[in-house]
Amino acid sequence: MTLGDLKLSAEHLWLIVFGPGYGESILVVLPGSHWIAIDSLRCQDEDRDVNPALELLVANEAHLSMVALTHPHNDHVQGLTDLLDRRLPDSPVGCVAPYLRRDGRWQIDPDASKVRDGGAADTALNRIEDIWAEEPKSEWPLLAGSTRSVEKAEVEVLFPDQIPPKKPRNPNLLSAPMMLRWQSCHVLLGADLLSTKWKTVERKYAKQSELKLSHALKASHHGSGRSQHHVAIGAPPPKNRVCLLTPFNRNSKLPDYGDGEGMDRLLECHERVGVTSVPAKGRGKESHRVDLLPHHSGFGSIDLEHEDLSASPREAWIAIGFDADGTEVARHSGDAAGIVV
Amino acid sequence: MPAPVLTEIEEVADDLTGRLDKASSKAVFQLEGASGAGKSVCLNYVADRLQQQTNLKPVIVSPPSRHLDAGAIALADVATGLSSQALLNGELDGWLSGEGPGTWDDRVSDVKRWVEEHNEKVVLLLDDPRSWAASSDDDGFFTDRGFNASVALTSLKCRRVIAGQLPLPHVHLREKIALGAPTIDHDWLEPSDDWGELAKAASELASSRLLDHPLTPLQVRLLIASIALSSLKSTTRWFDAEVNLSDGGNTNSKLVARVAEGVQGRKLRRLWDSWIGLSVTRRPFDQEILDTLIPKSTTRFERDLIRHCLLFGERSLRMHDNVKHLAIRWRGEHRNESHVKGLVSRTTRELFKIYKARFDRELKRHGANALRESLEAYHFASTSGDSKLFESVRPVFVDQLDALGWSLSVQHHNFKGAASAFEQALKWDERDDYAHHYLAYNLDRVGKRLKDVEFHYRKAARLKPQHPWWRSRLIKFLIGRGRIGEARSEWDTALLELQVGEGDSPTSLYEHLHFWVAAALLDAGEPSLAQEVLDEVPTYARSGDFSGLYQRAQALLQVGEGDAVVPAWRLHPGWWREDPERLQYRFPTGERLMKWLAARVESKSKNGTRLRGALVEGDKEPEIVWLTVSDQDFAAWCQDNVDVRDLRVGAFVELGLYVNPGKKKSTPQTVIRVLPERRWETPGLSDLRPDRFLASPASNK
Repeated sequence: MTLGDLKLSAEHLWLIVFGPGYGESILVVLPGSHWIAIDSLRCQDEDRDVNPALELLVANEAHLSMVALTHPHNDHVQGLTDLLDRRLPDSPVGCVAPYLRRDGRWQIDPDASKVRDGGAADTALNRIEDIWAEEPKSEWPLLAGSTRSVEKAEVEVLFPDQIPPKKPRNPNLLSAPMMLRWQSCHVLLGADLLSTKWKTVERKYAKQSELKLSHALKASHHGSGRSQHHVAIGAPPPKNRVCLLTPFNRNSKLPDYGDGEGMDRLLECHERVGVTSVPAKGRGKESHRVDLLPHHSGFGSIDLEHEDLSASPREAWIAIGFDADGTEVARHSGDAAGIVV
Repeated sequence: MPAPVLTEIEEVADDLTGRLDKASSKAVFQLEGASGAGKSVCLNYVADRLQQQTNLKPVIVSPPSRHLDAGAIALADVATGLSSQALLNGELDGWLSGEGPGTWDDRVSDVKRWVEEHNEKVVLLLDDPRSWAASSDDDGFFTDRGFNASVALTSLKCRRVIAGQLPLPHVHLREKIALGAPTIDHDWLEPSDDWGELAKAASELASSRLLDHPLTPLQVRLLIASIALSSLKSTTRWFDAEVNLSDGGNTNSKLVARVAEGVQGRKLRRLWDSWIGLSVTRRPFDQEILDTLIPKSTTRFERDLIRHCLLFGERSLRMHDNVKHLAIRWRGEHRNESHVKGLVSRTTRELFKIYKARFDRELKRHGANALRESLEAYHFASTSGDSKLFESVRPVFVDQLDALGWSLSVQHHNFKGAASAFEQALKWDERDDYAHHYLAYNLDRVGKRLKDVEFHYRKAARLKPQHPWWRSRLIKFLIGRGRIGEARSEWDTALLELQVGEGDSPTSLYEHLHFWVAAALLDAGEPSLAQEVLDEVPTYARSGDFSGLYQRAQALLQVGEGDAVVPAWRLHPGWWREDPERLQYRFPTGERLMKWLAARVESKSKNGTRLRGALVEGDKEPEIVWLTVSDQDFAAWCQDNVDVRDLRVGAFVELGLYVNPGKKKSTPQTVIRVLPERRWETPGLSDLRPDRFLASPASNK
């Protein structure tokens, strides 16, 4: 199914998760055509920058009633300024405030990818700062317990519970998971929070027991092993809860598949896990490893492999419709998405 | 003071005086001649003669070149000249009292009216008007003002003598008068008390063959200085080897440089400091200023050298531009040295004190020179950066406020003070696009009143839509705020307004617009858009800096696609096509490099170091491959003193495969070299972001 074919019924809540292997973006559509965006992705497709969430908004002539950036990692900020340009005036814009303290050190980093990512992150943060300055009502510093409403829905921040004096080097440590409540339907958006910080949520969040009972979960940190905590995912045996994740096909590659690792943990607690595109690690490694030894003889024992796992951003998505009780009423997905059972 | 008798110049002056007296009231004469030919001297001779021998009223206009307020000074010179000729009936009082502060156009219009009311009597003597537009401001505002003044004054309907080049071929000339190198009567070199301790050097020169050359008075003075600082013999040897008199201004510069070397070589610190201090002056000055700027402990020899060789004129002392510019250049090169800073600051304050006192005196007695003294006092107050000084003098021209803002911002990094100066300028002239633009820029630098920043950037662009700089800063501001969509829209507007692509736009347009917009987009992590901007630049306008940006855009695009291996410092994609940086082609033991790949450390794990590399086969596109090298292999293959545990993600390496062609069963050997890390060094990217981005306060709510 293509994004253009996606029809969203007006009486339901729609959770749409995009993730082509690098980048994550979430749209929530509420009855009455109220749209919420959490994070943003933009990547090249046939030499053009594509932001699938933006394309869906444009196709539906929709504007955003809320935008939040869970943390300024490059795979969550690309194209955020485009989404911010498509929001309603004075609508809330959430961001973890310390990230607005910037040092510009990336500008002289010898690593070109850091320079690029640093620039994109700073640009998104600059835009948020600009909006907060121009429209004070929109300011939403993401702190545990703070909430913002869109029509009959409410979004509550679960973490961070306090602002550390020093910004952590790893933005995931201040990533902001959120609980979205619409009537009796609850959706937990896990951001990229790591287990060590989920422990804080478990300890300090008064309604922590409701988290694992939510009707849908966007799993934390692309399904990495070190971010699946029982407060968010629950405990075995598996339940019929919607669980989605966005793979991360670069560098270390997520989700993890080993025993007790991310995917394993998620499948213990869910009957199935929806993946927005094919994860690098679970794709049948043998078929995709090309043995180059005869061709490039001499590089000997080096494990040499090709990796072209990129999916079109227009094909890497899953959309699920819920009724007011949290029952799944419809499910659509792009051609690159899949299910792990 | 010894001074040559310049017979030819006197003859020209006599002749020109006579012709002016008989000419119509719109006649224009042009004095032509090389640097040092005596054009300025001739203008002064003509002024003296007109004053003494005719009923005409000469007005000399001679603003200092290369100063931001040269245009304003030119207008002030006319006003001062008319006032001293008693041709103004208190009209200048309005200027000086600051009542109804006027725009630039108001001031030009006043001057035109005043001159044309007396056009039968007034003779404007305009000294090198083309140089009034030679300001060094990058954005052209002050240059335009100097040009505007030169065109306005050379076009006035009165008798005019223009020394040097015309700013435009817009004036119908009555006659061109050429001044050749003046013949000097060498009697002025004869030993006399006038030369003081330089008498011997002057006498030696008088009897040397150097005087067989057609030297200008300036060159003679500099040769005497050179002889006094070294000897006739070494000066003659140097002259024969280095000087080609047909080379005009270049000869002067060489002579000045020789004297400067002599002063520094003999460690005549007080003399050198005096030279530097005197170069801070702008107009001809008198003995009081000379005595103030020369240290009391200066020796007689040093004083004589300054007075007779570096300066010329009798009551009104001048430093020739060649002599001054060497000192100005040196000051610029050593501006961060505390001694130089202190010297320039002290001199600036002394000059302010003198001119301020003179202005107060002139104002009290309604003297004609009040305006001129006021401009000098304001200039030195501005360059001091001290608000106590510049708040004690009232500006006359809005340009002075613009120049104050420039000085506070560029020279003193007092962005808040600069913003305040530009706000004041806008109270005088709300259509001053320069003040709008730089009010925005300076507010942006301090991160204040961002709504005003945008308003004033936009206003400047509206007032002068064809100014590429005004456009690019607005777009940069929007990019810096993360308002990429609006920046794109402004970019499209700029291209339309500036008619880019509808002809051969000048290179400067691309440098002022495309370069900075592309750089800002790269900085903002938007390489695709930056590439679009750079693609608009035609081949003829792609300077070296553009090529750096282009390569950086390409590199960042490939990085984003995840299919390239690009070390930032290499600044261009496809570095794997070049020779390896560290791998040798051959070992002494006979092994040769058979193939190699450039790679980047992508991650590290218990399995080893994961590399992304580019394999090149001939001219084909590189093949991106992934490799995992165990720690053991890495340690065995790496030829650098690098522990794999210290190798960070993002580091770059070269892997080489070596075989020995001399051996039939040669086992290939792999070698790894780790590239040293370097910083980005693309020109133009160091000062992209206003300070506020680097110290943005977080609201810890």
